[in-house]
Amino acid sequence: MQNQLPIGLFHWIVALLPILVLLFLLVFLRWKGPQAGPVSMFTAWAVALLFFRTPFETLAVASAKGVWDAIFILYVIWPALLLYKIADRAGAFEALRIGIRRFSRNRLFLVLAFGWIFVSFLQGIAGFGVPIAVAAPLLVAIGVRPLYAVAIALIGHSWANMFGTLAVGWLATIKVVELQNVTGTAFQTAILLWIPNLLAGFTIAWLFGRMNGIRHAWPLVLIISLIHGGGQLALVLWNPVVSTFIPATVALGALYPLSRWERYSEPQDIESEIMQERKGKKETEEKEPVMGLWMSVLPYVVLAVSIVIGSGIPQVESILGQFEIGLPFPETTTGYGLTTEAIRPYSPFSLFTHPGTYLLLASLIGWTVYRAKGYYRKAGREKEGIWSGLIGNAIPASIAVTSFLVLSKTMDDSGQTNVLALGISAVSPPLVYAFFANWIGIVGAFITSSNTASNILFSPLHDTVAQTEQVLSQTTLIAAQSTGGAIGNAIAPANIILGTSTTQQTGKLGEILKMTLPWAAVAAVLTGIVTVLINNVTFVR
Amino acid sequence: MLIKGVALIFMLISFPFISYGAMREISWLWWSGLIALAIGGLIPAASRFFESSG
Repeated sequence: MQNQLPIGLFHWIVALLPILVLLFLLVFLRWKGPQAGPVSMFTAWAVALLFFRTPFETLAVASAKGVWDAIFILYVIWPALLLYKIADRAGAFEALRIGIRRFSRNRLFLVLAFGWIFVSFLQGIAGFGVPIAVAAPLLVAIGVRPLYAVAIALIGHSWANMFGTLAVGWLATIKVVELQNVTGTAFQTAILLWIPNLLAGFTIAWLFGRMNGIRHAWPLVLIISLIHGGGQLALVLWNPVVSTFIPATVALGALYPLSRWERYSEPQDIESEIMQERKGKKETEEKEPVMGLWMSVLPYVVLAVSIVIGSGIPQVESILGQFEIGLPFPETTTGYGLTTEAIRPYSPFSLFTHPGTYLLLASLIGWTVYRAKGYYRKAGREKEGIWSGLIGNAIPASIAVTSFLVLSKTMDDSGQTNVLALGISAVSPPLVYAFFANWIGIVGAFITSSNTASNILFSPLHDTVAQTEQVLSQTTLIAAQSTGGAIGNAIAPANIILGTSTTQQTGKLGEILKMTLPWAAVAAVLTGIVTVLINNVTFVR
Repeated sequence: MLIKGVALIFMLISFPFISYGAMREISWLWWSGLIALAIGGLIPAASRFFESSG
């Protein structure tokens, strides 16, 4: 049955209500995620029941799908926190902070290395929030204030979402839309993704030391962005699946020769409000770390290597990927005729190729080695419980993430998300629509915390608009949507919680949003302008 | 933390209840799941007011 969703101003506003309530509670009233999340979830339920003719059974099924989607993310949060606690209790972060100085004593270089280059590498292969959960505490370890550490990791990794995680977002997109020009779409997407990449490098330098930071970092930012963005642009023409992973790995390798450059090996004289001052102790008076630099990063090396082997080698991945778990759901419909097909199993996840399993493996090996070497005893923290600290951080984060994902699926299956997107397309002149196409992707990623989910939700809408509007290119609209989906990951609440939970900043979601929202807005405006230009230059029907 | 742990358990157990109940058309079962999810969401939201008044 064709759906008859109400595309009017009233329904558009009420469909927006759950997101507005969430933002209002987090940013203006400074509620914590575990409190604001459920209230927004109930708002989405109320809107679905009262204004979108959603039966209770449809609401229940949509909500349960949201819970399952949350379990997928919780299986990253809990092991990531465990890994953090294991390393922290052994003194690994303190050892990293002291040891890394021998590598480079330039703090801006190190912030960019961890907050942009290392997170991009992790996003290239792992994704699902792992880069934020892992890199944010590493940034704190080198002296970045925790809130900035989370914001930097969010901004630094977002460009890599579309073709990262071995291009899962791209593969999903070509499944849901029949692309008229597959290579052209990938190429235009890579052009647009270069914008958030370059902007991320310069933004992190600016956060560090305003214009002085940019003046110092610009050669590094340009070189790395050329590797990231230029490499991706070249590689999508050959194989989009590795088009982020390979440049991100090359950029990581480029850190070594760059650190030998005097400009980035020696301390810079830049005032920075993002760094924590360590008063009272001079470097020479600091306690000798319990372990060396390489031992401090051992669990993270194990993590990277196991992910590369498990997800990067097709034969290994096909064997490990056979063990999938998931539960079925029946077809549901709403009073407006919006039908969601039955599915069995719903969004199954492969236990042995899930990033959570690699994090658990890294935790297990890290704990075994650190314990055998006696680091917990040497660090004087043998009696501090790893589990109690883990539970204290993970439970509030888990409540927030679960309610966000239930909100997302409720909005999706009741038609609220569709009404939001269709409303924009109904009132926008074609070129205005082209400008806002990436904003739709951002909204999708904000709601779902996933570039892939955003593209699955909204790519068909862009396809429909391109078919009806003579002057709009499907290729360019899908590229803009994909880029918006990547940018939106910097402001997605579930992603932010991954960072706040591993940096002991639970409840500071609103404060992080205040830092990443302006960045996302600037990235969206620039992407919108370039989208319009590309559409006008390349598209002739 | 205990009360938040209970809230999380309520939220997570709703998933199999709703899946099984909806697939086999056992309405009391999926209703139980939906109610469990609602209780799980209400606890942390309500705890804000208990915390501030206490």
